[in-house]
Amino acid sequence: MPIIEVDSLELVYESQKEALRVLDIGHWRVEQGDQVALFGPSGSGKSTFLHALAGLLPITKGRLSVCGNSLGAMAEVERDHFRARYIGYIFQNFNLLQGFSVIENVLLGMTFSPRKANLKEAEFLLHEVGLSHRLRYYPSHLSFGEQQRVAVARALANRPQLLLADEPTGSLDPVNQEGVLKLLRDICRIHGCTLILVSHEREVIALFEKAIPFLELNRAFHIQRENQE
Amino acid sequence: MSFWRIVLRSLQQHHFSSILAIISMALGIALLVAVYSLKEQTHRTFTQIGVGVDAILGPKGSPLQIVLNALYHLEDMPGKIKWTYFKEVQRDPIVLEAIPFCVGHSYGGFRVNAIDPKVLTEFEYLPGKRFSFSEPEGGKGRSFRAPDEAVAGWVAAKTLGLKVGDQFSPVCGVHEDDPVHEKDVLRIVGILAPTGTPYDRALYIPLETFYTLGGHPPETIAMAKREEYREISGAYLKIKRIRGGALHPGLQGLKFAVNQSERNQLIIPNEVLPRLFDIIGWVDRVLLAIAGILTILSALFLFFSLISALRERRRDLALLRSLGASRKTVMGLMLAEALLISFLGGLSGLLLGHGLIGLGAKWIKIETGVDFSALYLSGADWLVLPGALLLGFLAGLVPGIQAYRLGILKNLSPIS
Repeated sequence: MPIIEVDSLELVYESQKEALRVLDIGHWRVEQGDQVALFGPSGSGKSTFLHALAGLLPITKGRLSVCGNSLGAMAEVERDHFRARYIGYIFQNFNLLQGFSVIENVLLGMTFSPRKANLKEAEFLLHEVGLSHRLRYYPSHLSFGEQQRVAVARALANRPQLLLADEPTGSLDPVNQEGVLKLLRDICRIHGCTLILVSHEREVIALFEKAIPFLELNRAFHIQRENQE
Repeated sequence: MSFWRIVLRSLQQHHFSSILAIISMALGIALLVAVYSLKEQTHRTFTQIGVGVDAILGPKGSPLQIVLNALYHLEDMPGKIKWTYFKEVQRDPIVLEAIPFCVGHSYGGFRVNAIDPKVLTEFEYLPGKRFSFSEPEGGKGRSFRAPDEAVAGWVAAKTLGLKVGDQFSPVCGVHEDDPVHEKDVLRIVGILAPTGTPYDRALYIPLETFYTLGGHPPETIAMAKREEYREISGAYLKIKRIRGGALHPGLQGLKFAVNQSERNQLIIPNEVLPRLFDIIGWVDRVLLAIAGILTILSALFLFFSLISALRERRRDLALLRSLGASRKTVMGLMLAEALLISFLGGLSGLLLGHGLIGLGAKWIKIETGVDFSALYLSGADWLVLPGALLLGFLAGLVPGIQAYRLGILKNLSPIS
């Protein structure tokens, strides 16, 4: 059973002056447990696609099914519940809550999901990402690499079926980059989680067997360029 | 992680402004609580004294002045009444008890009132409460039995340092420069246990002593021997009650008859005291207005501190939304913060207000004889927490709506 199924998906930003089509994807599917890298130049709509997959953006047309949920038919509050239950999201800039400790950041990842926040599980996740000695630290006291590890632990806190990583290594040095990527892929394998990673870095893409140039998927990018020319 | 844990964490993040908001709300509410409680307790105390005395027989003059003089040992008595007239009123069938008194002397700033000795033994200064000399209750000694004996109220004794056996010479008048009856030495034989009423703020001597103090003109001395010449300042009257505890309806008839006389009047304290509250009411109103303004300002402060906190926390709230928190949840977080701050402010204000009364009660008792209790719950107390929560809700509403309308992606901009 596919975990992601896209059919004639369109996402259009409408302003008073014009309608800007940012996503136009014909047919695409991802099976459960797959690890897929999407790559392409900036502005090609990769992040927007991840946002749509996470239910952060409503789609305009077509069909988008994620973890068996048809997102196009969902109201915003239903998409909030969907996200809390099925999705783990890793941002390029970690996006940790600075006023909360490392363990609290991970607990926050469980808070809105149907599962109850579980301290032991949060500690275990941080142990898995090698941060059991930093539980009570605050994000500002951690290195970038450590912060991204916390973000990984938080993204897995709700036991997601789908993990979306938007340029997860964009802010890291090469050593940390490699470590975080390995951790991400291993941990997804262990947890049986599907991974969709977006990047524009060749070294990152090279690690994935399924690496898809996003420009091949998103027809809207070509239309935009043609219009600009 | 529970909803309230997130709220507490957010407050911790902005602890300085949160504490300031709590303090400012607590101060406003403390003042409101204290003023309201003092107002109610004053009202209660003053009307209680009125309850102890159903009516005052006195000379013509301002009824309020007579009440203040007879019951609160303030002001001067505007004249005197004839003893024979007092006896006539005493015989009226609706009069249960009539206790004559003479005022016009003082000692150390406290009035020295000449009264019938049965006041100290039989008179109920409040329903069911009589004066006591019992030591466990704070009193000492006994009532006076001889003309040269005196009894001190609790506050007067404490303030002047009077003990049983001490002697004093009263001042003929109630002003500092009035002459002292140097040849008359009176001995304290008893100290009344505290009553929490203005009765604590006076000294008492036998009625006949008033007439025989040296230095008084011969006609005053003659009053002691000849009843037809005798004059008194006034008399406390207890009126018969009818079923249900109400005053005998004949009181209004008696009042009318007395008021028809040339030199006398009958005053019912509970009819006059509301005028006193009208006169002093503006002080309450000013204080309450100040307290109200302070409280509203504190709510405004809370509003601005929440707006400012929201500006700093847009990213955090957007992050919570990205983790699955709904719009209602993030709005709830802002409202909960406002409610928690206002609840803590309200609670602190309530405690602080009562604490202030507790701290000032001892001083007020010594100064005025009025007993204030920090534990007294006024009508306003029950409204403090709901009122504070309402203010908190109003202060948190706009920031809450702004949080509700917050866009996720727009606010998840990089921080580094």
